[in-house]
Amino acid sequence: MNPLRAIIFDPDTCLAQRQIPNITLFPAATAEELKDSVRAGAVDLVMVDMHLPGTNGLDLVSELRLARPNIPVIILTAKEPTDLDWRNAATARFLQLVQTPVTDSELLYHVTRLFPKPVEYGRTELHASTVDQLRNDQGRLDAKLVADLFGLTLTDVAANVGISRQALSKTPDSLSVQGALNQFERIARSLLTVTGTEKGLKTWLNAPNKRFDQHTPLEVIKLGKAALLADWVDDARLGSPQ
Amino acid sequence: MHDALGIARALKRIAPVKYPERNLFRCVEMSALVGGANRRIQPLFDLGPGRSGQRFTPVGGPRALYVAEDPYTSYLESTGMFDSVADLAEKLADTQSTLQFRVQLEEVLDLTVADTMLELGTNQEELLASWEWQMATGARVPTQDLGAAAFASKRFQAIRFTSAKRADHANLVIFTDRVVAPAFVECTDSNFPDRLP
Repeated sequence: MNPLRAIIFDPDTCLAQRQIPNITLFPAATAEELKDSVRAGAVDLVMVDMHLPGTNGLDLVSELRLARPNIPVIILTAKEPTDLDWRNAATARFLQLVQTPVTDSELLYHVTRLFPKPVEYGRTELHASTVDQLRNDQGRLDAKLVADLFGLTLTDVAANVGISRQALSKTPDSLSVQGALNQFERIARSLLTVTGTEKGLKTWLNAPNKRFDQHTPLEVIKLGKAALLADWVDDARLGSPQ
Repeated sequence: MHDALGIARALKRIAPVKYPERNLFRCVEMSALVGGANRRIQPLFDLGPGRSGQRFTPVGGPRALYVAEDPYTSYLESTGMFDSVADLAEKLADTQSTLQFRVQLEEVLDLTVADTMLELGTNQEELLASWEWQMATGARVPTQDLGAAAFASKRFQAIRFTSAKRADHANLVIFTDRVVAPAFVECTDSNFPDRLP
């Protein structure tokens, strides 16, 4: 992918000297230079200060959009944004309001908001086939197949059902067993949606995680808490500040 | 943190603070908010935390809306569970949207204030500890005790607390059942009108 070409008009910051992955930054010395570059289609993204000498960043953006209505814009402001600023930013299209100073990762986050990647619909089929592999010929969830996908022993799986390994083998189709195995299926489905691959699923399950006090998600399952992990993975995938 | 009784006593000594009108943010996959008879998007959907637990919400706890004071913190918080593996959090960013709310609250328990933490017998380290691991191991989750007590006291509409991802930024958990006029929470996106009360 070619790097994004971003032009910055902000006399007070040295943002243009930053090295940010996938973005080529270059400064505009004047508002006219900025307008010319936008009109000429020489840039993909505009970053402009909210408070400019003799003018206002939002007014300047309105002018730029006469030439290119959908040009993505990041408005920079060193001051705490006012309520009106936030309101304007919320209603404007292709615009992000960013308070400076800003870290590279925060800036990249806002750029991502302006250039969303297309959703990979093909992934859904991949998830379905991987999750379907957890079921046997009768369409029942199979404890052995679950254990294999998650890298667990049958004893670990049994702990999540609240029965012994022997009992798990004797009554694999019981409602309680199938209900508990369903939690593993939920985890697999959610993680495959996020990671896209079986390898990614296993990598996440085995990586120490700050949210679990540097324990791995697999350790949470081994505590017999697959149902809890399934809920948390769903919540995390769908989003909610902690 | 004090025990449950100690928390309840301490809360009586802590004066709620006003939270002047401002914008708050929620980073979320929109499909998570679809519900109700009309299957419409509900930006103020608040049943998730009580279902599976959250930092200040025990399982079975009150309806709660978790929001951040700036959009980037909202994103970091919502994707935090997946930042243990490179690039995963960024993948999530492609599927999530940031909702913006106008919020005014009359009675807030502000845990970013040192005296408030002192009164409750707690500190920043305890407030930011991994509540998930505590829950998984069956240990007490002090922040959930505090959230339950704050709601039960009927003296607080929300708790303001330091972000676990950005120490100089804050989040709020709003007890939506406690939001009564003149307090309000309103989604600013005209495509998804939603407001409390």
